[in-house]
Amino acid sequence: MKKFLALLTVCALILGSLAGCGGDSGTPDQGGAGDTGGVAANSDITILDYAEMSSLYPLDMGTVSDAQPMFWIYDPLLRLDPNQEYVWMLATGCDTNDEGTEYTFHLREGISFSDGTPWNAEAAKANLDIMADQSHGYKSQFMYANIDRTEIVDEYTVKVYLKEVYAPFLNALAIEPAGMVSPKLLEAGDEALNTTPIGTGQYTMKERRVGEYCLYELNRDWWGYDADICGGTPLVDADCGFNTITLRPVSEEATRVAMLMSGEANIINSLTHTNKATVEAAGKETLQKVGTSMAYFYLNCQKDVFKDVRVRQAISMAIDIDALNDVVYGGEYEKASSFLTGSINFYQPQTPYEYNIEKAKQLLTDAGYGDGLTLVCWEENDTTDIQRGEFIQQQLEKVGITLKIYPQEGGFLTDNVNAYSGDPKDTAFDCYIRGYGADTADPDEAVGRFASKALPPMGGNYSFYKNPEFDKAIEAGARSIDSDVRAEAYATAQKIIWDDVPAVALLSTCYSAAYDSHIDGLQFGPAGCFNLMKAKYVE
Amino acid sequence: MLRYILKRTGGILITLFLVSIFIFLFIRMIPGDPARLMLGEKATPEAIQAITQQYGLDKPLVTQYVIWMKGVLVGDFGTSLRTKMPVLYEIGLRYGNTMKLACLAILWSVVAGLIIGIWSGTHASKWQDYTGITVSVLGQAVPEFWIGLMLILVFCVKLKWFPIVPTGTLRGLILPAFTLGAYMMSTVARFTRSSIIEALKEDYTRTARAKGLRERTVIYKHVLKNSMIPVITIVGMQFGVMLGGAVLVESVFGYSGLGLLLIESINYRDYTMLQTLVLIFSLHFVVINLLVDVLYAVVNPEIRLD
Repeated sequence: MKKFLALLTVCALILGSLAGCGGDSGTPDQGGAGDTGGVAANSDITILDYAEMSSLYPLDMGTVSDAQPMFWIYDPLLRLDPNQEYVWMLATGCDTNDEGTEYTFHLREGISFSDGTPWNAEAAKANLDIMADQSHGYKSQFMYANIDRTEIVDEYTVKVYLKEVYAPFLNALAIEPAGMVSPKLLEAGDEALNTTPIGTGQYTMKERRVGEYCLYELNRDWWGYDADICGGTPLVDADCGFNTITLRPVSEEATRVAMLMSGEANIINSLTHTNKATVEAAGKETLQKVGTSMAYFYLNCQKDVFKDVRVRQAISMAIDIDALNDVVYGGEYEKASSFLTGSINFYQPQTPYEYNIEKAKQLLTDAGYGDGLTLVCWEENDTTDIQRGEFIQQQLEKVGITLKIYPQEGGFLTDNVNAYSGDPKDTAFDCYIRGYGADTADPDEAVGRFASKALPPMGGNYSFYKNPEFDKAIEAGARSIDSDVRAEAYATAQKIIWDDVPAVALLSTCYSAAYDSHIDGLQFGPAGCFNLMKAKYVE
Repeated sequence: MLRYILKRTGGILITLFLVSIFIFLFIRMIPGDPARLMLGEKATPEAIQAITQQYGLDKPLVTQYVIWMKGVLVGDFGTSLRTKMPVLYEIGLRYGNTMKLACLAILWSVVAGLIIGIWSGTHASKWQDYTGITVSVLGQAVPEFWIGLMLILVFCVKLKWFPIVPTGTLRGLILPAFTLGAYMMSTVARFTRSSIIEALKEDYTRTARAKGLRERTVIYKHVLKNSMIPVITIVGMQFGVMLGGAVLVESVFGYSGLGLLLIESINYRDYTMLQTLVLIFSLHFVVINLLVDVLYAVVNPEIRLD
């Protein structure tokens, strides 16, 4: 008995010490009760994302979860609003030369970084120089590979020279990786960039416990509230914003939903259709927006079987995309009506292919494949991706096509599709199903990658599609900064590729979130992170 | 015993050295170029080249290993390819969390498992035994993530007794630790039960009873002590596994531990992080094995360590 008591005492001691260990972490210190300025007192909110950010340096962001804090801490030269219109932020405007190779940015005056360093041409150049220098190997650097050099014109003017005309340049500067960082921080190196972010943004990072939470505090001196700096009208009302935001990574969706229901969270990101009804029934709001990603069923056009357009069209007619949407995504995604998603500039809807098994069979017979056909298909081994593959497999079976699917781990798959002898006929796959996101929300990235010069591993043309007419249209779009010329070029490109079907454009992905009744004015930014610029806390 | 421990420490170093070679090679055998995975499919060739050179991924394997080992010997385990922060910094941020969760889980599960096991074993084929068996089978059969989600639903969403995401306090750790320990509790209960049933049939038990000892003394002093060897083995093994992170529990409770870090590192082929994590997990196992061996001798003096 004595021993048992001793054991109990030891247990109690260990428990006690464990509890003690945790004393320093706990919930973040949200403060917030002091000077609240124009903002509602105690408006502390908790947002749940599905993953932990991997970097706090805008240029090194690789995922939407990485982008989220960048949106709050850093301001870029300009931003895209939810309608894809430019909003000038740290610059007030820009002039370009006729060729579209030189951009002169006029910087906004009177702004400082949160460490007190003034925002001026020198700071802009320091950032743009690192963005251009590919030898740093930051994750989002590829978007700025076209910058040749940046020159300081005067204290508030910089001129950026491009290596060649690159139409999506302004879009690339309007997204999170182009957030401007304090030059002092850039000098301090990677470790400082990852621990003490310093920008000019609406929020500053107050505290971070890696893997647990990150606490952001409203920057009451943010230039966006100042009418003088903003040229007469403030960017947003003075009472916009939350006192503090706690951002937590919670990878399991069921847990995120439970936390919203229990009141532990105010906003949750990434909500699938299976949980949408649950949160709505509990009186929560949901938010949805078509993103810039789309899932494609790529057909390797250099393989003999796909050289005949009738085979490609038959496949397009044999897949009931609406049913795919309902079965796998609960009808939450949007059926593709072009190779671009609706939220990408110059999107032009095309006439949809009708779901018609008989017609598909006829086309296959005409092309000489009336007796059936076996194709090797690669995809990622994610549960939903496998369901999507199986659905397509069952659909194609109805027209006599046997799809042999080989699901593979993501990184392995990326390596595999890019590794082939150099002759596209030799790829081990005939078709390939995967999503593709256009970070810049520009058609040059979304559809331009089907140009013949963008074959893997140098580009994303996984259909190995080669069509000189299409290439010409893409080139015309990429080499002009005149929006009328671009609109026409991409309208042509979208029509050609839709009729040619080098890939079946399946579904546009949608960003989806849920939030409680305290939140007003929540919006999605272009990349799928929350745009809280105009959001408020309501009692 | 001290001599034995010293001798074994030498063995541990050799084991770790061999493990380091194996993990170094195995990790590099996983297909997938880390530079491309890190930078994404749209990366420019210059950027991929830069990362490859920066992390020495283009050097011969032997050279890469020697560079890594030289660092390890002076306590520099390298920089994470994914986060560009020192790997020990990243691991350090999560190590305490995993340790706390594992200790708490092992503590409750061993105590509960022993109680259930003794109760079942000493009442073999009676209702107490059937109850014990039912509880332990349930603990092993019900998946961790289901237990976790149900606990969240009942105790956090409905009753609001606990926070869902552990907030560092003991209260926040109770549900994750319970979930993590459920399987372990069942294992301990089952091993204890069968060992006790075996030991009850032994001659020394009959002798003890014949001597007129009280039943309680027979069970706790003779039977239980002799039945502990297989239980200690299994507890040691499971503790090693728990210290390697608990992926499901961590993701269900949004807990920051080594399990999710390991998964992320595999997805990104974060070589430096993976090497270090596996090395640390191996260290856990060899140290625990040593402790288990020492415990054998403590529990059963017939076992002579040297």
